[in-house]
Amino acid sequence: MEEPIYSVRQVTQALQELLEEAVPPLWVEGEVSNFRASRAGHWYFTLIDAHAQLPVVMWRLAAMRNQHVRPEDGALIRARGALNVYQQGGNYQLQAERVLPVGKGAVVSALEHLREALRKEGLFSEKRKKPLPPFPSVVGVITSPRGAAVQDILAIVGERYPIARVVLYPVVVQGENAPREIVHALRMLNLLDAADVVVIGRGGGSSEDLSAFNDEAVVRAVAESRLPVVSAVGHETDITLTDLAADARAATPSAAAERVVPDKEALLNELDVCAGRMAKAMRRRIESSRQKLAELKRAVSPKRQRDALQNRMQRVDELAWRLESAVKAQALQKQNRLQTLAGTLNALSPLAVLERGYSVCFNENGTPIRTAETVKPGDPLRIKLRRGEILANALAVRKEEDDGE
Amino acid sequence: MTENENGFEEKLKELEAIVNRLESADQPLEESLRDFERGIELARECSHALNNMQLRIEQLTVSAEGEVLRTPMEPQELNADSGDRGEPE
Repeated sequence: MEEPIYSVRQVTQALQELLEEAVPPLWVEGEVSNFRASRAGHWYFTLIDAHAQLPVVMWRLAAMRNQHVRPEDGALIRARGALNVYQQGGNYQLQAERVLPVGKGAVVSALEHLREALRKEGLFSEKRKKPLPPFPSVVGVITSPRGAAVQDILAIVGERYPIARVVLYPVVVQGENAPREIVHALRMLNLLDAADVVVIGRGGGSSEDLSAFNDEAVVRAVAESRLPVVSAVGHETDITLTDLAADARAATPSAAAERVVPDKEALLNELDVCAGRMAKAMRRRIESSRQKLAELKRAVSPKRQRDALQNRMQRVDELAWRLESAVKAQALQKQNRLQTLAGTLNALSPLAVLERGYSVCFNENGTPIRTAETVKPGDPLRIKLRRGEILANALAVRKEEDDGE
Repeated sequence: MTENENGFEEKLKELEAIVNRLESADQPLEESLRDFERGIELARECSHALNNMQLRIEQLTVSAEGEVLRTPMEPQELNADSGDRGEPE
């Protein structure tokens, strides 16, 4: 009875098959030792604990996918993969697909790696940042409908810029569903073109609560958003990756709301200034027209002068009157300056007196008659009224004695 | 797409153009006055909107099936009165 004799290769292959059958892919935790990256991009290291060690290999593609959590010697990590046999070396190893840092310090370190990787990709570059629209019609808000953040944002937008519309896309902002919901909300707002600017945020919390805003998918969605994004994660001390990828960042939801809409008081003030500038410009125009009239009066023959003068005076007066009424309407909005102007214009108008029912008498030379003494019975008179004039002859002249007043 | 929704920005731009025209251009008095009246009207419309409009709020959701749901809301509907999502805010 002879025992079979196997080749080394047969034994190794049998072992490989046994391992594959008996041990499905698994997580192994240990300390990283002797980490090496090959020129081709493969990673080799050993996981050790107090009692044993396990060689680990990560092929190039797996290594690239885990670039942001690249192991370092001495770090405690978990690696997931299948056990197999390295035939040439005659040993077994873990062929890892994923690695994860372990422990609080490890999370921070993973975050640092991700931050660095995304920074190198240019996701946080100033060049990528889009300007915020100065007068957004619709403000998109992605946050919890029950949090303080949405209350703060609505209060500020309502106070500063009530002509806007707020579109709230409700999401959970913590827990394992948060990243997926936030990404979905942002994509939908973009897809539907449902806002002019988007605020993403929540109202403060511990560093762990902010993890959704450090999630790679969320950060990428923010960077890729066509609509400008303002992050309002509400954490002064801890800047998230979403903050870095956003087009603008605010320390609190209220501050974010202030960033996205203009201020009503400033706008009202600006409108006042505009009205003042317009009135000033109009007054200048009307004054220069009056001067032109005066020139005309000197330049044109008496007959034509009369017609031209009448037409133009009336026209200027009408324009002045319309200006005054427009100014009065504007003055309803506490425009003291314009009210003063309206008064001034009224006083300046030579024909305003006629509007009130008075008339002016001219002699045949076109000189206004101020006293009866200058008129003799039979003299031709021209009496100018609000609209038109009367040509007459003086029937008699009654001089009035000075009352001695 | 939402740009013309309230037209505020367009009105401000028109107003600005009018002010500049009135201050610089040497146009006929008649045109200046037309500009002036339009400008005052625009300024009043804008002030009126700022002073009198109420913020409109709408909740938007899109289901996994792609169904878009828009619900107008009142601010008080969003009071943080129920904590069923368990968020400590």
